[in-house]
Amino acid sequence: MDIEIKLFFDLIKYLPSGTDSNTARISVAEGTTVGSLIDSLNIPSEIQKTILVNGVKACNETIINENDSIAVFPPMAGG
Amino acid sequence: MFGLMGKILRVNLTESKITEEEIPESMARMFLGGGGLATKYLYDEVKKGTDPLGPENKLIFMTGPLTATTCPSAGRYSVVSKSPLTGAWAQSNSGGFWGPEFKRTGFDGIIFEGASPKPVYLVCEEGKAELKDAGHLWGKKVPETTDLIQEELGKDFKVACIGPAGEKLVRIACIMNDTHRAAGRCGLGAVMGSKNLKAIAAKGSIPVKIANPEAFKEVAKKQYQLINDSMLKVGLETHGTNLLLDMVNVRGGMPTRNWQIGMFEHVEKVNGPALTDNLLKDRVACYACPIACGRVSRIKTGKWAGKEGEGPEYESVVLLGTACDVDDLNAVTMANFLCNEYGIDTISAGSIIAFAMECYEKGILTKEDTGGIEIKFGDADVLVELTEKIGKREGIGDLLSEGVKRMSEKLKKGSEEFAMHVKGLELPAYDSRAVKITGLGYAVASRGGDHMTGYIQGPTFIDTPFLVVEDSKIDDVYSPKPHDTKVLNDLENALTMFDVTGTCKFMGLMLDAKEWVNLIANVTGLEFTIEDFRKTGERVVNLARAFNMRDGFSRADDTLPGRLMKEPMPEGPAKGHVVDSLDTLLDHYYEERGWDKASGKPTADKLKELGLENTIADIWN
Ligand code: SF4
Repeated sequence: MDIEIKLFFDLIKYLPSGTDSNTARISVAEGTTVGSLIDSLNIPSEIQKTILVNGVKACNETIINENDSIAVFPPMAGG
Repeated sequence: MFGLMGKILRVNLTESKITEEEIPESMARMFLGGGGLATKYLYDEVKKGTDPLGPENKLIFMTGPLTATTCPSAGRYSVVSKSPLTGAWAQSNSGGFWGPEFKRTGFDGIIFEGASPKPVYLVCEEGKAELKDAGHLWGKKVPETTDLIQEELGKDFKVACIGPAGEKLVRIACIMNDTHRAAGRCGLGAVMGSKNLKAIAAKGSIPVKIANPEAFKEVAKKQYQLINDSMLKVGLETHGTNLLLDMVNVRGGMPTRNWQIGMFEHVEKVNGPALTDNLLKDRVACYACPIACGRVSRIKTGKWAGKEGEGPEYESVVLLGTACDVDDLNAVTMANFLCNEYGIDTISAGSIIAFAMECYEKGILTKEDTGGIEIKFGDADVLVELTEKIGKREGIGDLLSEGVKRMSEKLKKGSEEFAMHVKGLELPAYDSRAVKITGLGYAVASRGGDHMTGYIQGPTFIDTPFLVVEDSKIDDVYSPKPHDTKVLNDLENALTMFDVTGTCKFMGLMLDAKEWVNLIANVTGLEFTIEDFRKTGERVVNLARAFNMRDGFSRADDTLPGRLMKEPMPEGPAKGHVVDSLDTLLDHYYEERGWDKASGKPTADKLKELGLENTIADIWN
């Protein structure tokens, strides 16, 4: 199924190569979770991040549905 | 008390008389300084029913005990008065360098009273102050005024002044310092203009006396380092406050087309990276601040090419940009520059123009009213033209200068529903239908529709925990719980302490209350605990509330524009949502605060507990 991912600020570098904005459409298997998506993009798990699915806060276990839009932000505070 | 200079200037403008006054020790202990101390003076000296633009109103500038020390971000001052926009208690706060420079002239603050028969400005230098004629400065914009004063007195004078808008009593006029920084909200520039006071120039080198200088230096240095190494700094330094734009847009809470929708289609044209790539010339910091969130921008292309200034900040991009459906960042930046030059608040200005655009779209304002201008959403030239007209109070600008509340009362035809203000203050850049607890924040803030009183947008829209309170977690942004009203209450008390001490609220994101207590105790020499920290904030919040209640405000004024409560968000993540629970939230919040649920007044018990007994008869009899 196709989904949309939006990565922000210094996370942009983890988008599939050839992406020229901060947004990409990619295909993932049914039942993919947010956590496994983040892993497949090679975003290091130790980076704290805010993840929103369709604008609503999500966690690693959230299951992604077709055409969902997943936004990932780096932390804004906390040292 | 250490940390304060211990005295203020009282400037009677009617009689051109300047006196020095000591700050009573007991008052200093209760209110510390900044917005707290200034609110105490305002409450005691400005009587019920005072006309905000009359000579009986007072305009109070106040720095805090940390201002001008080495504490990170300690460059701020507050201006407190009764607002001509809201008729309520008003506080506006600004950074830059003016605050610390003024404090080093040997005074913590200034109370301006009366009105001068002719334009004047005040010069403060090394323990002395005098009024000078400002006839030649009247009518000048902020940069020219600042330059002329510095030519007269010397480059090392720092200047706070009003532009033409303040002189013309534009109700959204602000006070500008260091040319580019604004004490923006609530129209206090108009109060200054009503007193015929054009500027305050300051130069000083008198050091702040610190109770435990060694210990203080060490804590301040440690905090500076901590912030310097933080992610907050990286984000804010790289993209300025405009980095918030993407975060708010993704949640569907970005005021667009005067809050008709919550997502802006061309966000990449106006977001943080767009500003950095196309306009950024330099990054600037306020006094003693490692963050440097300020932007020096230069328009590089198009009809305004070559124009330079500071900004725009996140709020300005949204209200002047997306709220007006304008995606031309050059035009937004130009409008922002004009706001700074004429001395008007960017948030209110953008909101007013967006409101006028919707009125035009709906036929409530016509070409006859506008002097032939077609005020259409998305028109970048109209945005710039109207900004200038507000600054000059010219043509349709005369109506716009009154703010959306007065405009809608005059225009009627249902426009009251989409005049986006609370108590007359135009709302900032976060739609409460996407995070409902922010609606409670707007409704209860004493200065009107404001985000900086409690900044509950921090833990919600931008998902950043505030370390300054014990718990800032909000679980569900669409179904607020009683617990969330406690978070707001705690944040309001804590964030008030930044206005009180003279520091920046961005630091509130970073340091926990223990660190602040440590800084305050070491600078003042007081035995200061976390409990004192919270109580002092609470006292100031309650005194501001009592000021409003004495003037006839009530629970009925703690409300929101009809659009947020009745019109479901049409699309995006918040689709279908309205702020439907305000009344219940108010009940919980009042209970948390110890305020009477029926009237919204602080109870006599609460006021006694906070040492504010003197206000009980004023608001309860
Ligand atoms: S964080 Fe920004 S606004 Fe605050 S003191 Fe630093 S530079 Fe100024």
